[in-house]
Amino acid sequence: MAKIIKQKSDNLVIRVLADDNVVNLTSTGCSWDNGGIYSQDIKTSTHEIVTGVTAPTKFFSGYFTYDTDWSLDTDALNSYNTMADTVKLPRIEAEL
Amino acid sequence: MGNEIAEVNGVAFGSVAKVNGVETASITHINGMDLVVSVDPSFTTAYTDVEFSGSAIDDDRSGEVVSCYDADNNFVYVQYSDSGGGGTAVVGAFNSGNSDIDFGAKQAIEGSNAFSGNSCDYDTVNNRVWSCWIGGGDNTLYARCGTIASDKSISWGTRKTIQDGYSTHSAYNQGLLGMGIAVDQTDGKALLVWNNPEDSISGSSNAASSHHPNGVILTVDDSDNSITQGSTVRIFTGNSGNNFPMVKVMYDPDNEEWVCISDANSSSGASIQAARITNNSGNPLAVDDTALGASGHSLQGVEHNATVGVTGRYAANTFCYDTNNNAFIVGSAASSPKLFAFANDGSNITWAGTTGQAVSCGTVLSQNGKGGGVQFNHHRNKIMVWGSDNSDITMELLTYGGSDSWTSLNSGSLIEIIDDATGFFKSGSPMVKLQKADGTDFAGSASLLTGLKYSGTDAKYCLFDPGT
Repeated sequence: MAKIIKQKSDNLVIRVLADDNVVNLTSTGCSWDNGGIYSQDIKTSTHEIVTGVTAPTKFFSGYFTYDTDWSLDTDALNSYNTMADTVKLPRIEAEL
Repeated sequence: MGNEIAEVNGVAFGSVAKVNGVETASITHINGMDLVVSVDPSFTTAYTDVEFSGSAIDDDRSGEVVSCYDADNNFVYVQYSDSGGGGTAVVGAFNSGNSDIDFGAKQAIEGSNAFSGNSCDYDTVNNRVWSCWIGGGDNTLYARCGTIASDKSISWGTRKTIQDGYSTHSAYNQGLLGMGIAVDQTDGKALLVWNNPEDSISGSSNAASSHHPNGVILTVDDSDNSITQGSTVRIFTGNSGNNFPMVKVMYDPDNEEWVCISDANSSSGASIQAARITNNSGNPLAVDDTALGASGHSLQGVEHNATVGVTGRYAANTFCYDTNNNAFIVGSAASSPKLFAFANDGSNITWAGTTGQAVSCGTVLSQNGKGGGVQFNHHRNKIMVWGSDNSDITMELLTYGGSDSWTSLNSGSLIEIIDDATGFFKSGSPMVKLQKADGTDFAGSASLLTGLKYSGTDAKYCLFDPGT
């Protein structure tokens, strides 16, 4: 099982973490990976942590939402990868 | 005459701080004779991991690893694209005790989506770091400005949308290539350059991604690090035979204006050209667009298809500024890649010549980002060029003497950065002297090189002193 950090407004999932990853979500920011990473944009007013979630097969932030189940925005993903192929940038791999 | 002194009482001269209370750097004569101290080229820190809080960064998403120098805190700033989405930065200080950089915790710049072409520069006027990238859900161009604290944390202002992406224009922002932002160090204005989907090249076969190079001037409000922007302006004109033109920018400290290079070539195919970019009432104005005219040489080949060159499209440091000669040094793509030089006198761009200097280090390019870089070490007045030879990453050191006159210092004995053909991709390194205003060096006379170990998606760096 996994732990996710998601936006309250649209259920956009920012990170999928191991269940034992200690996340410190406060009113001014959020850290995880034992304080190894800090984001000032993730706050209690805008984000929440959900535990006991089954992680998707391949996660990449920006294309997944989670309410009670996962949803993948394949239109946006395919649009990006079409562009990436054109200019030979690495594709984004994401899969439910 | 000069006397080369390698050691004093058995101690390497380079390691001696003082002799009879006098700093060695101040000693010019011994017993009435000129003192010439030779320092061999060496790695202050050999190729190693960029770290966060003591652990290696191994989650780069095959993107640029670019860096700049915070002259206020004597820190270096490194940013990269995160494998989980978005982009991340770390800030580090040199530790002379173990000759390594101590990096702080990862600081999220952007939480989601791609972080393509990410570029950065440090603003010594407002004491801010600037970051820009192409990302979001539809390839939007963003910028963000932050304040670096003494504990290596960053307080970011609100993310600024510079140009909407596909959802608005049915076309993608392109051409932000790791060297896409430069700060005017007299007034703190930042010039951002890229290929604008609002200014597409007519008749191109890839209309959604084929655009003319544009620029926009950004201003930070130092009360909250928010950004305002001027108008987007075309600075080079491309052609339908070259779908993805390149543009890169540096600040010219001698003429207090920006200089850009491009391969847009308004007529046909690809070129190498340079232009002055001035601040015209808050908007960029490109003047003196001047082509090199060296047959067979471009920056990345037509449609960036070159397989031999100094940097190609996806390695950031395509040009540098030799402050000792007031010359910009540009790396080409060609069957025999070269360095070329041009001068900016504030009125004209003048290429030194079309002969140039053939490069002896690795010059293998690949579409996924293999390529090297060009950098100038301001302590030693040396040009450093590196790249892959399909076996390892090697470096050549040169000096430029003006008038298209060059000297390679080690063409026959190249310096190996790493024995790994793909060990240093997509590198983008600080283009300024790593020294505070009071003369305090970051790491002696070393330059910082940052890049990507492609096979492991690890962010890497080294500190290299090119010697006397």
